[in-house]
Amino acid sequence: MKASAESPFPTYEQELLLTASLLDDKRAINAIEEWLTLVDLDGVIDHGSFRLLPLLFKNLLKQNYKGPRMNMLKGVYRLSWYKNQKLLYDSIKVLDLFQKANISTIVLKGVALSSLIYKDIGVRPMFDLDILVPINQAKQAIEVLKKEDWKPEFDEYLDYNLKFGKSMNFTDDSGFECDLHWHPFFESHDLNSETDFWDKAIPIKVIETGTLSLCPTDMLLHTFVHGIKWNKEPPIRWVADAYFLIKSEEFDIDWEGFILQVKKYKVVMQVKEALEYLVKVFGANIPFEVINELSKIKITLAEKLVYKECQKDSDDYTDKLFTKLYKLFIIYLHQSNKTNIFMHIIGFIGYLCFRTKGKDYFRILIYYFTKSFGKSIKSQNDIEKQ
Amino acid sequence: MKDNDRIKVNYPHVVHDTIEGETILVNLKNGHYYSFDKSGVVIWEVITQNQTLNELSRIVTNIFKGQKEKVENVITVFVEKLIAENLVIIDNDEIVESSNLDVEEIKLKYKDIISNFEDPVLHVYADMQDVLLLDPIHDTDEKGWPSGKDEFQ
Repeated sequence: MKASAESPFPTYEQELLLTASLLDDKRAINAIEEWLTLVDLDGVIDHGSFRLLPLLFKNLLKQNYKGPRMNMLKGVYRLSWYKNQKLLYDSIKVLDLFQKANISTIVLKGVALSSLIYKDIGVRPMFDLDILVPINQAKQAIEVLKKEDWKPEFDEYLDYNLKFGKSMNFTDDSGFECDLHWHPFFESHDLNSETDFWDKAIPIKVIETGTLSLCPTDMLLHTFVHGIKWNKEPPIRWVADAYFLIKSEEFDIDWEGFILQVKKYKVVMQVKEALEYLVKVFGANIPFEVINELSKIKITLAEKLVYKECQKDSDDYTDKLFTKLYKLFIIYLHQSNKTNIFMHIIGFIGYLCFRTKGKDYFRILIYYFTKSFGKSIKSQNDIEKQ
Repeated sequence: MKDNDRIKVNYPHVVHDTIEGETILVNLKNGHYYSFDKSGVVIWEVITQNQTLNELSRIVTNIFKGQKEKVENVITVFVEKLIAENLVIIDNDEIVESSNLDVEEIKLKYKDIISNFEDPVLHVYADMQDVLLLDPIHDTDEKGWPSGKDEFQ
């Protein structure tokens, strides 16, 4: 894949920054020195790169690097450490609420990675608490938060979200954000059985509160699925997360189990590309057979379409009827488990009906029809007049 | 404060880390941020091992040999400041085993600080709303965040 500013695959400058942040030999020092000549730190750097600076600081510190910007980097680390410590402390109130309501929880992303993999609270900046609850307790979890005055982002789409979505964002009075998930990711989530991800979850403590984390193998899968897609903020931190997950001396990746999950959730394309990248650029210790095995898996047209669309700006609004329908079809395909075109069409009609439940279908159609064809009819009239 | 008072870090409300000869702390209850360096780092390392004030003084004096009186005074003043900020507490109720400190290891670890004793200074950042608005790349001085350039002070 060709890297661009918002691509999940790093640009040349981002790759230098990652090299300086991950590797523990001379290549890291060479990379930081070249990066500093290419990037104007006194100007603006992309947010994805900015979020790597605390990790960069710690890696350079280990190598006794005494470069000119180390005090600034140390400051970025201090700030990240401070904010993350506050976030962990504030997270306890949510975990305690769920514990009292007998709702099981898995902490995702930064909280789990910082404690179990990086073993450093400051190196991976976090902005919210990502928490997973079992599918059958999702509604209860939402009610628990609402009862405590947490405000949901899109309350009116609750039924739709529970059926077709994966998470809901909540904010409390202080502005603290909790992203409540009932599926760890969107991909093929109607295949997600109630025990998936929970059976292999491992214990973790957030300050003094006990909860669970995905097992490292599922964390790796989650890192790839979440990271390898278009994002306004270049999501390059997946490279660091995956690199350290694979490198961990404490945890082993169950590669056989990993391949099964990749197949099951139909995310072969992005995972294979990510693994190849990690081996090629950072020499990650990934068994050759894993990539070989993934190469043998047949990719369906639906998977190809979904992957292609995931690399585009998903927030790009359209009011053109067919473009809108195509976008919705991709969203449907993304989380669907159907295997043939007939079942896909039936499923998509059901999805559209659910999505527009309670709304005036006729008005929706008129709206998109006018937006799509109104302009071209008008243009045709103008030409005829001339 | 009595000599046999046991000094403890105010867990879980206080978190700390030491990086490059500087200890940073947060009181998570009120969000205040603190830092100190030099001899404060050594004193803090001994405090984290749940010592009584008496033991703390004895160990730190041993580490900073030859400056007993000065060190003892500094410890008392410093610990009082830490207590005032709720970073440490006196806890004589709970039976806590003091850790077996490897004084030689501490001496080796902090040899630069120990060779040149300087009083610890507790830097307190209580108004975090302003400090958190500082861009850590562009708005800070040569020391880095949370130390802002003059125009942001």
